[in-house]
Amino acid sequence: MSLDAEILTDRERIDALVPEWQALATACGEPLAAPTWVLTLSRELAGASQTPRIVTVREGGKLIGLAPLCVDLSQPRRAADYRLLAGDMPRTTLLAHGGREWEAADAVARVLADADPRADVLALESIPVATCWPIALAEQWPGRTRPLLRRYFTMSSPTVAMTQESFDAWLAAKSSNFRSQMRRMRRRFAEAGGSGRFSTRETLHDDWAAMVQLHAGRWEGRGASSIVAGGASLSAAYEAIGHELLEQGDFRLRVLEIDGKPISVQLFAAIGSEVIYINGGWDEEFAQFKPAMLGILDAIEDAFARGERRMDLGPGAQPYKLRFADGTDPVAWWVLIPPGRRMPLALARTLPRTTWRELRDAAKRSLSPERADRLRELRRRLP
Amino acid sequence: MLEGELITDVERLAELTPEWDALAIAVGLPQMSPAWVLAWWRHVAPETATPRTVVVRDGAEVVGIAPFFVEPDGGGRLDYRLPGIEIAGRLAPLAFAGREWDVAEATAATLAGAEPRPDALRFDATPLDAHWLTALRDRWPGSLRAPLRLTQYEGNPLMSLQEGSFDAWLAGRSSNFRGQMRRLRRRFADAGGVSRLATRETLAADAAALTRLHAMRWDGRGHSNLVDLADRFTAFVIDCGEQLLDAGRFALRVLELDGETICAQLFVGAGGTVLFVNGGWDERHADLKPSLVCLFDEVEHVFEQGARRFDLGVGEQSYKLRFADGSAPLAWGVLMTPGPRLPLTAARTAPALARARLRDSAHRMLSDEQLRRLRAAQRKLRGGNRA
Repeated sequence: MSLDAEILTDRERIDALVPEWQALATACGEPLAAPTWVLTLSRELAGASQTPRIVTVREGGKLIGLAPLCVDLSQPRRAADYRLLAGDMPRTTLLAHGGREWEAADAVARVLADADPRADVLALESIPVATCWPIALAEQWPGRTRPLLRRYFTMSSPTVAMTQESFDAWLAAKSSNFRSQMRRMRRRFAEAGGSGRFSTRETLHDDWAAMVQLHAGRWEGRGASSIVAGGASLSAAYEAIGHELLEQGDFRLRVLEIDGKPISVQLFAAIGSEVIYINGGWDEEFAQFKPAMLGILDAIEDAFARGERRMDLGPGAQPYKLRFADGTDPVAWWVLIPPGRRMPLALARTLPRTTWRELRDAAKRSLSPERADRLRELRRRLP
Repeated sequence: MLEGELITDVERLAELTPEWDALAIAVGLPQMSPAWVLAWWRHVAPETATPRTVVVRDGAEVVGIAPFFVEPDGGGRLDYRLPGIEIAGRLAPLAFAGREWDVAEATAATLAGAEPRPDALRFDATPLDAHWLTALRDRWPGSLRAPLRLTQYEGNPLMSLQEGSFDAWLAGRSSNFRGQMRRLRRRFADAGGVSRLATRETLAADAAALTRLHAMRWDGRGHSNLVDLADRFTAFVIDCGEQLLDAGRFALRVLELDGETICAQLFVGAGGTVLFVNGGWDERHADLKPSLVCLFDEVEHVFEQGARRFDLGVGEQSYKLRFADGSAPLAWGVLMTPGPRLPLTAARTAPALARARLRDSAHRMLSDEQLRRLRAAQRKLRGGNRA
């Protein structure tokens, strides 16, 4: 049976797609590719220049693939850059039922090649490494010339496999050093009057405000954070997602408090048997309790209780994540430039971004950690 | 940090069988299981090949195995390859889920110090949706990233078996498919046909029949690796069968008519995945469509076994597509290892890359009819050259 692909731009039709989209995201085990996350974040955050282009792929009426894209018309010379909607999330992807990715990519490529406006660039950012989507799109892009395809950045994303029967069994399999540290941390936190809870509908607003405040505190003087930069509109988006998904357990805000005051808030998303840690913030005054680690430990225990099978700790191999992780499922950044007379211009536009990432990678590989730190420090001091 | 150990002799490889098999089962890659790979070493491996297998341990636990081999430098590019492309595709190192990058890092570090030093890791029919190509490239030690060039992609049809039972699966197929399959089974039975699986007693004769029928199918049709292997393939099948039959992980299905074998197909399993390796049938009985009947019978058997995935093997032949509900494509490529010989390696790789580009351009620019004519001309040219 042949596949039918279509680009949806109309809000009503996109909203009507939500139940099927949700089912597909669940089948793929991709929490942040679920429609509530993608549509809410894109609607609250996208500028007027970004409009959705949701590509649906159907077989006999049944949705078997979906590419949640948008087109960004803010680029110079009326360039049309297509990218994943809510592509700023730690992990996102195109969706297809298992084994249908190659066929679905063929249908997506065909419909995108004829899209209006014509795609100058297709950016696939922070998508899983172990996927055939980028190559499948490039290989099957119609026309006499193959598009340029470049993977320019990869980032580790530590994972915790929850294949044991219970949280206790999982803990028992960790090193004795890890177990005793975790127990000591929990005990010390409890002795200080600490308690942990998940947000409810009633506490969501205040908890999110605490999250933003604590996160901003952590990032002060340390660089840029999208949550801080997102301001009120981003907060509104997260709260809206929370209200939608809290009760089904797909949005989790873990709050640690001492004497009723939040000292740490961490955000997790879930779908099916997969959980992902998105971000968090904690009060440095209480650093001795290692709140970030305590929150993750609590979230793992909770995930075991719900029968979930894996927690993705999100891109970035920070030491506190590596204490929990027993694997990694990295994400990659790709750019695909379709053939055509605007190809050289698109290439010139994307080159600085891709080259910069590759230069950073080369520096990381060539320099000792001390030299890399000095270089980073130097960069920070530059205006 | 995991520890990588380089193993360079086959006897030592055999000692790893229990841990190695546990990995093949965890990943669901029967074609990378020790029974399969060790049988390859005994019957199929080139005479001059020696193992360069990396075993990766986390403490005492084996968490990954990359069973590469090398053939001595004949003056060309020195490739490390994975064994078995003559017989089946989907070749990849093995690692527990989530450990692929750690295992790739330990493997790359070990191979970078191996003797003879590899100019390239060559991947034949490796899964495109796996971590290995990217992970080995990114984790290869040194300040330069190893250049990776992919030259070819091919579809690999799959059955997800998500329906849970043969009847439920059949009910979900088109009425045309159901009608045809029932008709074919009935016609075969009416002709006195029998479908059975090889046993220890019949294994040798059935394996010989498989080789013979496969050769008959390919006669005058081009090139088949299994035809080249001939008796060595038969010995390989018998060897695998002896090791895997009792565990229910080996199936050689045979169709007989009046006591004569008219079709044989080989299947191997691990961890809920069953792979259709290859087959052959007698053209005198083409009206009975023996390959479809045989595959259909095995689908029923695979459901009974509780398998979760049926891999129909490399290539999107139309009879496979009648059964498949998905595809997990495979890639061919070369990872060139950084070092003083890299420019030479790149120069030696360039012709293959150019051919791949040319082939891709031809596919994009020519019509199906033009492609068919081009292929026919190519065949004639090759025949002429040989003569």
